[in-house]
Amino acid sequence: MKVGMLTSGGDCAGLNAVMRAIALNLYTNVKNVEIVGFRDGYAGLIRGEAVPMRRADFEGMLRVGGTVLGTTRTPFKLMSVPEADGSTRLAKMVAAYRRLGLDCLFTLGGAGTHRTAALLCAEGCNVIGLPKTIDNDIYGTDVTFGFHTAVDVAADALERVRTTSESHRRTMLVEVMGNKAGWLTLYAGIAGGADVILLPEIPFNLDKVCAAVTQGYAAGKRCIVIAVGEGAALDSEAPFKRRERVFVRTERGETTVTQHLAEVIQERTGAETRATVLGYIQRGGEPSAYDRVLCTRLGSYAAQLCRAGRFGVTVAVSGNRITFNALPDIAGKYKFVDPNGEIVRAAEETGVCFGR
Amino acid sequence: MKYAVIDISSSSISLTAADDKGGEPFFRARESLTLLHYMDGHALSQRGIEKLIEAVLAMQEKCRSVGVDMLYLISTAALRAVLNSEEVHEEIFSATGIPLNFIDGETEAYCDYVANRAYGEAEGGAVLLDVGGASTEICDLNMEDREGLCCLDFGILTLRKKFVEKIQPGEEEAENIRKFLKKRFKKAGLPKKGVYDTVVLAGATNLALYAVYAEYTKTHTVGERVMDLKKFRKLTEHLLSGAGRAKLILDVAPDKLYAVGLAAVVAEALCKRFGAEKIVVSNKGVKEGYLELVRSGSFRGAYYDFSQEAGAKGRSVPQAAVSRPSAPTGKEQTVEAKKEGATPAADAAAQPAKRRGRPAKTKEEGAAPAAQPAANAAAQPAKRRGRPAKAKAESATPAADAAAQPAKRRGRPPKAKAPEQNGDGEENV
Repeated sequence: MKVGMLTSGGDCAGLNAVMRAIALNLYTNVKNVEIVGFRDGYAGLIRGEAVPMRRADFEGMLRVGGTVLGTTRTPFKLMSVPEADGSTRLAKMVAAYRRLGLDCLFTLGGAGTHRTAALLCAEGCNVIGLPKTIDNDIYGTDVTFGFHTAVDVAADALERVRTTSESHRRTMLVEVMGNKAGWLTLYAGIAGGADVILLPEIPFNLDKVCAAVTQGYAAGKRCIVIAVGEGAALDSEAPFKRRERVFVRTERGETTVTQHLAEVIQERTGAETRATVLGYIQRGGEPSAYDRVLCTRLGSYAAQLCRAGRFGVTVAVSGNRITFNALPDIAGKYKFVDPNGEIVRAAEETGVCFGR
Repeated sequence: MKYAVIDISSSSISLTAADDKGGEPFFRARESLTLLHYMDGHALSQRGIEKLIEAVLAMQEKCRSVGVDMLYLISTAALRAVLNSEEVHEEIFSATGIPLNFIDGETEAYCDYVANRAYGEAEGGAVLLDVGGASTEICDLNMEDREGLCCLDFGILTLRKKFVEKIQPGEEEAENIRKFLKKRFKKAGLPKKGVYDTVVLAGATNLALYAVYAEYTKTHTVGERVMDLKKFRKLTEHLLSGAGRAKLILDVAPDKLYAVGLAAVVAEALCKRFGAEKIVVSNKGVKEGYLELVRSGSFRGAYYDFSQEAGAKGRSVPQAAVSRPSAPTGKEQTVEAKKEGATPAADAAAQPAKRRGRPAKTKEEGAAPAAQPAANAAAQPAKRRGRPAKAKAESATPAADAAAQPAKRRGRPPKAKAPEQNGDGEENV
């Protein structure tokens, strides 16, 4: 058996742990297995450059952050666009898959990666997807690997910000990654004890946020910590398309709402207000213990699917069981936070303000 | 009274809800679910059953939220053909309380006809095509009732298994499919050019085909979904060999990835045979037809009664009070009624059904009750509408020839049980 693997899109902790689990499962249970890796995501497959990966290459990878294969973003919409040589990226990937004689390709990535995986599947390649993202927004799975590690990082940052904010009696806005879905902001906000949590799914009202800040200080708090999702938007911005929102913010010299919100809060409440963008530290570092277990389960299951000959699927978590979904059913779909769901309600009923 | 029908097909689960006033459906929902990926050989895997239950429960919740009173769950060839269909039925019922009605090919065709018979009013003759997973229904919309129905025992999945090596059919494979279709259309006695000007495409796969067409041709749909024949032919060529065909489908109809190319080949072959100049895509199919038949009392499928749920009295209905049938709806009375083989729908059918749609023909006996369409059809020769048929020795259309002979039953043999009850003889909830 000859299999290939690649990691595509934004990186996260746990990618190496998943590849390790796939490889060790196959090396342990299949005779004469050959594993190759493609560097830099789909770009490597497009180039057709396969890197042999022996069993020893996977030892010691369990706690290593990032991805040893490297990754890039290769937009789905460009996959079928003819290039200068007349061929398309999709055609090149399919040709490489066939030329290398692969029996299966494991694709570790987010929603966009899964769309391309579904394309490859549609062209006859045996593909098994694995759900990778710190945003936890892949449709059809309760949790994605990398998410809980990012939650730990962001929650820790919120706690650290709290101590300095308390010392200075400041209002601190902490911008958390998550452009489309607010899972990371929600979980990190709750875990980090944020007073206000602003999600892309719940357009927020400025007056309500300012009121929460004022009331918090009136109740005796020494600081207010606000977790702001990257994709959070004012209720006045919500009717506009994303492109229009970006334009208006760019005119202000901003890409997200965080800085603008900080200025308005300071102006209206009189509280000294600062903003911090966590940025890429949320992607980095070694995977948490939870993620190491999850990655091992997901990777091992993916290998089982391969051994069983079940392709065109992506591994998923459902009620603490590891299972699978059909790629065409989930490709391109996202999982959003339910604004009226149990988690948001639990936080709201314990006094967290969501700006509504 | 609000009715809803959930249809499980090979690639999706969809819901249509309408009230008893006879108007357009007020609610629709759809979720993709590619059963093909959940098969273990010819049986649906446990994971597939779980996904189905999950999807049915989600649809049931949607029905609850919009105040549906009676919910019917139907499945055609998709589940009819799986080896463990009984197990699937039992597990769905056990998890949701909703009994599953397996409907055969002929009933499928009849539901398609009922939903789309208005197209028969158009000049030049209209024929309907619905290509499902394992069967294909062709209905002469100018004929009365069941006379013009033709059910062929192949569908997308059959064609795929027989002719397509990978996911999308190639040109050579498409040519083989066309030859196969030509033989089967001829064997079914379908007429050739000059009988139908319009081909009406129905079903989820054809709707997906239209979505792909609209994207490919950059058509902005206003009102009726019409496909230009020349552009449609170009699309079909593209789907067989074009570079971006997979992406085109994945962008617009990812759950129909395996079906759209084949659907295009079948539709094109039928249009060619009939020399049809117009292709219309209907958004009504088996579900809408079944819905019309249950709310008129013509069908008595097994259903789920939301009024029997715990706390149903407190259930909030978003608009003004919905009128309820005069038949009793208490649990014991419903059980009693079921034992006698009647349902609230049947109670309504016991009275002359209020005819909807086209006015009934004037007959000496008076308007035919909707509950006895087959008997009426047999009593009088069918009046043909549209372009006059070419003279033939035997009869007006081959579809009528088929109707004149005892219909060949396809699909699973019917179960020997009352349709109001599920397989275990328990009352509907």
